[in-house]
Amino acid sequence: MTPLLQVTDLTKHFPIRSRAFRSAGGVIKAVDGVSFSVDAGQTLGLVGESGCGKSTTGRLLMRLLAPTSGSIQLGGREIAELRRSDLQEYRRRVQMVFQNPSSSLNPRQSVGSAIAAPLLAQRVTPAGGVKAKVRDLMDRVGLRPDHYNRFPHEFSGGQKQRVGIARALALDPQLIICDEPVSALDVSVQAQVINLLEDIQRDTGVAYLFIAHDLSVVQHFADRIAVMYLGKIMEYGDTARVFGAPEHPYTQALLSAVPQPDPAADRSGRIRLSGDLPSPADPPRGCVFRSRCPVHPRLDPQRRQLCNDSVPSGDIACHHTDVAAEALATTTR
Amino acid sequence: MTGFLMRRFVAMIVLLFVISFVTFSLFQLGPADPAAAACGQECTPQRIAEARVALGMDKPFLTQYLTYMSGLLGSHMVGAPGAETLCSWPCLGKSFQTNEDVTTIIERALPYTLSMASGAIVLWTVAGVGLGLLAALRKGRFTDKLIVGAASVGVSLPIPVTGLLLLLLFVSTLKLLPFTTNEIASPFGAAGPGGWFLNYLLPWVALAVLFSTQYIRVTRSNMLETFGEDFMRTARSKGLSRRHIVFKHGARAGITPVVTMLGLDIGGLLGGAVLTEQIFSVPGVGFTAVHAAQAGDLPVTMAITMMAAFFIIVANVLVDIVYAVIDPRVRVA
Amino acid sequence: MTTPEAAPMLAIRDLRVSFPTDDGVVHAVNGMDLTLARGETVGIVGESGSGKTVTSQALMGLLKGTSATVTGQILLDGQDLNALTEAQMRAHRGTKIAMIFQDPLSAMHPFYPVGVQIAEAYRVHNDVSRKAAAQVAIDMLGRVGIPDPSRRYSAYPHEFSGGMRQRAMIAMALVCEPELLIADEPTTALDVTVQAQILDLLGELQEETGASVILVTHDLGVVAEVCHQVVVMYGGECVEQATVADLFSDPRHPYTQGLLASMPSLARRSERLNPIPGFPPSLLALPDGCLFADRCPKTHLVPDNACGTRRPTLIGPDGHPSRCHLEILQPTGDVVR
Repeated sequence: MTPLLQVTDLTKHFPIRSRAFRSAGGVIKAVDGVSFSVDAGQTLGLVGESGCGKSTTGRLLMRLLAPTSGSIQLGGREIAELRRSDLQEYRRRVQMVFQNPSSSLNPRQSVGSAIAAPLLAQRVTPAGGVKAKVRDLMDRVGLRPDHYNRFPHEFSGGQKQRVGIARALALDPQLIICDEPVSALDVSVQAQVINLLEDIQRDTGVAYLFIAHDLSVVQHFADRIAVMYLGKIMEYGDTARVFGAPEHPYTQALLSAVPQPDPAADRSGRIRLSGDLPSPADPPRGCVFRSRCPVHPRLDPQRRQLCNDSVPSGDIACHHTDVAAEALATTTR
Repeated sequence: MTGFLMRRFVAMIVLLFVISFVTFSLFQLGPADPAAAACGQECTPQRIAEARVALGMDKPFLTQYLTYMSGLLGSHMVGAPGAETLCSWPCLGKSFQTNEDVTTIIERALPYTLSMASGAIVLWTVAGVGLGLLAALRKGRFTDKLIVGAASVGVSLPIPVTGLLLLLLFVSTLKLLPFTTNEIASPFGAAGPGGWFLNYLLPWVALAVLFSTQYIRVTRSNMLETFGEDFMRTARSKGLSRRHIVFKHGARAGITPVVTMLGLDIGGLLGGAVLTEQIFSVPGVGFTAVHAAQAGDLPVTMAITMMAAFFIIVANVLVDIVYAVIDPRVRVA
Repeated sequence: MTTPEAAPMLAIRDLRVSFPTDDGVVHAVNGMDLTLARGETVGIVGESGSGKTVTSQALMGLLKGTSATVTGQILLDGQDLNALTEAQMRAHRGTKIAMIFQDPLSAMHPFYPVGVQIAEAYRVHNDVSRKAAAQVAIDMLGRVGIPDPSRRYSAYPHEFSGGMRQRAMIAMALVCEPELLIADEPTTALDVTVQAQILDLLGELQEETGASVILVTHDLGVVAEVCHQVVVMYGGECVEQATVADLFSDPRHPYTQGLLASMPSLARRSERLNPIPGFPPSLLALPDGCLFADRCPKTHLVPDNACGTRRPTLIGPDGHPSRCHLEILQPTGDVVR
């Protein structure tokens, strides 16, 4: 079975413009050779820290940005090269939910007409049916019919995000790209929205690409997960496997850094990354993670040279997963 | 920082050439015929043709522009063949009315304009920034309302009204001040600094009433915005005194937009305060430009227009440089 | 009254803060109680609008001279900070009580070098030369783990990374060795690996200096990592105070229970989250009864509709009080779950 979405070697380079008239020649490799797939009705979690390229990936998939190279296939059809006129049909099948529900809704547009906008733009529903369809959508996301003519400022953050979800659902898409959909919300409201997204997936079979920095939310939500760092995927696999037995040192460090809401948790096996993210304009050669890698200094010189010379590839982008596993075992002891 | 200065300087030179070309084109290609203007009231077609040759207007447009601009490099001969006269460097042509070098005319007018501008600038900056700051500190109280109220009255008073009112009150009725005279061009003349001060006091006040109102409003709103900034709260949590917080942390950040305004206003004013110079009969640059325009004296009008543009561009660059000195974030951009 | 030696370093008694607005009076804090011993870390946890940030501002005295009305006592070493004038409070800021903020980029002045801002914080309270203060600032930058501190002294805030900025902010707050540090969401704007570094650093510095810390946060995970005590806030009230261990093992207030149940956790992967239904109360018109009553699943356990008509007080076992009518019904501490 072909996956719903197949992304292969997706790359986006932004030229660095520092002088008024000439380019300095460098590029920022925001997304650099990323590959993954999303099956119909499934959720892929895309996680990583700020600047890792996860949001740029979401924009590339929405074709809000044109990729530098690589392939994006939806249902077997290549869309990386689509021209603007052909994107209309694609956007019917792929929708987006944004992080900040306040700024992604027009303050002067009632929520009813905000939800109706994609229906009117794509002319998929007969004119008389739009209002009924909007009411149905509002009901599905837990908004009351009398909310139809209200304006975004009358809603709480959680309700606004429900409006955003209803708008994304309007065209019955096959895939919804959720870019940090709950990170602006309070914990108790966040749970409401996560449950809603889960219910919608169960009822409609929509697939999600869930972009988030909060690992506990992603673990709860995603079937598969891709961990990004400096534009590359470090580790890719089933959520249970990646969270249960992370193999890449970056994934190990990331999981270990998440504060546990349990004072009794065992904190002895902590892995702390030192230093800051390198500049994406000048990432380390070879393995991009090696400058902060806790395993790298422990390697013998010959193996260390491998990290400097060659870019690791594969689902676990690390040359030395054997040492990483060993290192993890010793710190945990 | 050096790179920043170099870039700004090169951009300024380029812009000055563009402006000179546009201005020259507007005057040469405009509806007014310089040749007809130059030859005076009783003109035969033959005399107009002669005038065209004398003005070099028989040559291609680009050649005319280059000839005109070459006057900035050295003195050269202008006029009809056989009757050329020397136009000494820097040459911007000769007045149709008096056959004087245009630069001589400007040199004569400029001290008046400088005298008028300098005092007015000091007066309105001190009054505008001071009152704006005071209003911001007393926000919502009586002082604030008084200052804001006065500012909105001041901004709606045009220069002719304030100017004539001032003349009526202080010169005609109270006889406290002398009529402005064109005999005092600078504080270094026979009248001395005192005479110069009294002579220009009324035009200064008239200009300051108009300009300071904008400075009050901009200073007040920027200071209020700055007072709400996080770093002001930090300054307070350090235990700094209110005076220190307001002046060292607040004013430094809140006054920067005023620097932009000030730079542009100074640039604009050096090109001549047309109305003020008219009302107080100060034979400055604006006064000269108006009279030249009325008499159809194109070389003078064009030169003053270019000079005004030049001052505004230079002021813009100075503002950018001052900005970079004040705000370190600008230096990298 | 408590004996002097048992007196806590900080005691907040019935703190209330309200602001007049165009829509009416906003009751941001409606009864905040807290005690904190020397060298301890207390977490103030709550969602947006719970009054946690306003509480921290009231502690710093930042509401003095504003339209806010602040009542109640803030006793620091027995002295009521709320009764002090702005000038008296100013002497305490930085030396006795200091603060770090959520967004270190906007919390630092963009036009002054980082080191200069730290040195300035030192010179306000110490009569030393500019040069001596600069040296103190450089030492402080080194202590918070900024590499090459003498060079970084003259760098501007925008030239630092997010984590380095927060380190510098901590250096600025601690340069006068305050007894109490208030950290308002200090790691919310940071990435998780950097957050871990900053939390470690705060812990180390606290051990070195013996300062007490109030950590204001929405993240119960952060609280579990670094705090000894926790205060849970809801609708401007302190609804529960406990040791960290007690709060997580035996949450007493239904809101705390709901909060813990609604969080996804790395440790236990539940099939479905249990959100708290509804929304926090409007702070413009507070109900007479319990502020949590209309979202609470346990109101039916309390007779006579007390939850809807009477505001509960903070009562319960010593060291673990909760603001719930169920505490009176079950004085032994065995609350119906």
